[in-house]
Amino acid sequence: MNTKRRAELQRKLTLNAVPRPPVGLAERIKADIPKYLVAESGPAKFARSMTFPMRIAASFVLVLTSLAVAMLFVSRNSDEKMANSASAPRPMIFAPQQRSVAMTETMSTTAAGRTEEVNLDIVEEAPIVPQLAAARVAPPPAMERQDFRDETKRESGTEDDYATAGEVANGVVGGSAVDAPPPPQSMAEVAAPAPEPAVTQPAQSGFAREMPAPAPVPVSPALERESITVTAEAPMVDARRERASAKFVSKAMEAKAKDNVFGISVSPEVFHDIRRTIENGQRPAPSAVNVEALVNYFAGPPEKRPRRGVRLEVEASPAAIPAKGDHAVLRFTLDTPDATSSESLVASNARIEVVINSAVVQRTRRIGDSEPLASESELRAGMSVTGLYALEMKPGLRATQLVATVRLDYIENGKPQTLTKVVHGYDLAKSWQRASRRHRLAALGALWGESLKGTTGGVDVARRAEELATQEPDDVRARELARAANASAAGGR
Amino acid sequence: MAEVAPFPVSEAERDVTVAPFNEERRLLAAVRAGDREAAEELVERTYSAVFASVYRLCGDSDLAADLTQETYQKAWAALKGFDGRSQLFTWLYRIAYTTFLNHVRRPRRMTSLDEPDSIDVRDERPGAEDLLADAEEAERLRKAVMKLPEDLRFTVTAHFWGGLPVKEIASIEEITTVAIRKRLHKAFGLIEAMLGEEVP
Repeated sequence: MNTKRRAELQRKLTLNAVPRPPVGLAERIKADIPKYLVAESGPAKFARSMTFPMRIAASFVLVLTSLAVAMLFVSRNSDEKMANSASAPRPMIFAPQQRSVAMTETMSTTAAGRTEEVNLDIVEEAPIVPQLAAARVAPPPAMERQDFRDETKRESGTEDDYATAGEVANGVVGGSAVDAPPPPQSMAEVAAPAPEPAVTQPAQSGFAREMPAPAPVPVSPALERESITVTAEAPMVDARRERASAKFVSKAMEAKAKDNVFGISVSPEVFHDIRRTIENGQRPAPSAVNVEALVNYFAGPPEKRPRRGVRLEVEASPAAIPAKGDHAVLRFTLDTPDATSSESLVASNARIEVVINSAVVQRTRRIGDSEPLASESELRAGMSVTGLYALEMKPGLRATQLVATVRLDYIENGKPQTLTKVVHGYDLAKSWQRASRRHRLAALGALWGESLKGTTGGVDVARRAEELATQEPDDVRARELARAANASAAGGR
Repeated sequence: MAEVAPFPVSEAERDVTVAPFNEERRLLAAVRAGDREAAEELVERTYSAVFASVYRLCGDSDLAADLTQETYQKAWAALKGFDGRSQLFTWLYRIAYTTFLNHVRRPRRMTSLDEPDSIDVRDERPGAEDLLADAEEAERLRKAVMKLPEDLRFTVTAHFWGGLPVKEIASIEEITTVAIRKRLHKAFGLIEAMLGEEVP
């Protein structure tokens, strides 16, 4: 549209004649005021004005009370400690030394030496002697567990540039920082042996399940009473780990449940499996290459999720790789807000409809699947799903011609909602480089997937992905795609 | 293919310091305190603009008056929730626009914004076109605007018919001013297409 035409249109829009309001309209509106405008009564106003100061005062009183109770508790403890240190017989204080002797019968002299140091530390804090002593001299199964966890992490490749499935997918599975058991708070917590293997074994995470049972430690009869104190904390650790494991499992199950949205595969595992196969120098079987899942992996989550509701993104661009005729890529992506709770339901009865204008499009296909899109009974928070269409345009497309309409119907808070996005000819009148990164990555992921399946060939996806990675070095997905595409071109074929 | 030129910023949009009601805060505080006279003053200052906005949306004077009245009824009820982050008229326009949409979408009318003549509520008295030379074109323009997708329609009507600056629209839509300008650019393309040729 030229400037003159635009100015003319603006003028028409702005200068549209408006009649004067009907006589009496103001009076009609004013007559409604008493019905709807309810002034606050004096007491209510006073109560509202007093609410905030009262809250502050209450908080202040609460803090002071807590402080006083804490001080009372501390002073009482210190009194008891002083009384104990004054009255307790010396063998009680050095009780751990007896245990260390018992242990050193089965352990190396190094361990015994460590026990000596512990004894020096504990003289001043008699009540926690058993915990510390047990923590330092305990056999190392828990530490082995820590090492095993690191090894697991190395094996799963989370220490290199590849993001974990959860990091790059839709944020549901979550990274290791979210789902891993909480880090130990103290040495005692790390090293405290699980008292009853039967309690520890049900932990569901992989590393906990395969963890070797702690070696039995010979304990002298005199120390059995103290060992109760040591193990008192162990169930807490196990419970915490169990909770974390349960959370991990539930999140994993949730992620599994969301592997398919609108009939579109969004499983991030597809890419990880393909990548592993290629890195082993093999070419993945065509049946193992789910192009839709790759599209969704590389489209990834948005930089910023919507604050509420469902966001529908629709974008079209020329095809990534020039081919004979005019080819274009149409993308729709749905994003929901951050998952603050695994139960947060954003919308229900969602149905997406893509209508392509056959007057301007010669042929079209949904990339990765030929089945029609399914409806989705629930859209939950933290979800992203992307669908791609390949369009072959008829010659002579005009900028103002309608190319496609994407419509999303859903129910939010019991009310039916509709989002509609349209694509016109001028949406395609832009270069590939001007398309969004998400769009380009999704389209390149599709091309790569199809080249792996053998449905398209000679596609220089790696070069395009490297362009993206160079422009934005922090873009993990672009780097992953470039690396995987290079690897598939070099060795995986 | 040609690049899409960025939507230019008009002179009017560059300095967005529109404050149609100077004593807005004082009036609001008084209204909240139950001051009836302040409420009446607020009505006097705003109802013409609200009526004009609604009239441009629906194209019918009587209907616009009814919807304006309904807008204020809703506004009084919702006044407690108005946080003052946007200007008062922006807030009123949003209510008026929603009221209009609700009216159009009422089941009894069984109309859809996508249908070609769905919002043809104008009183077509004989000789009306003769009396107003541009009326027909204005009506075509209004219909074209009404056929825009929801986000574009709101942006165009709020900007050109509601008189809201781009910054205010961006604020209530929770997007950037650049995105609003892109919407306007896209809307102009569509309107031109609808006025100039039949969209397939």
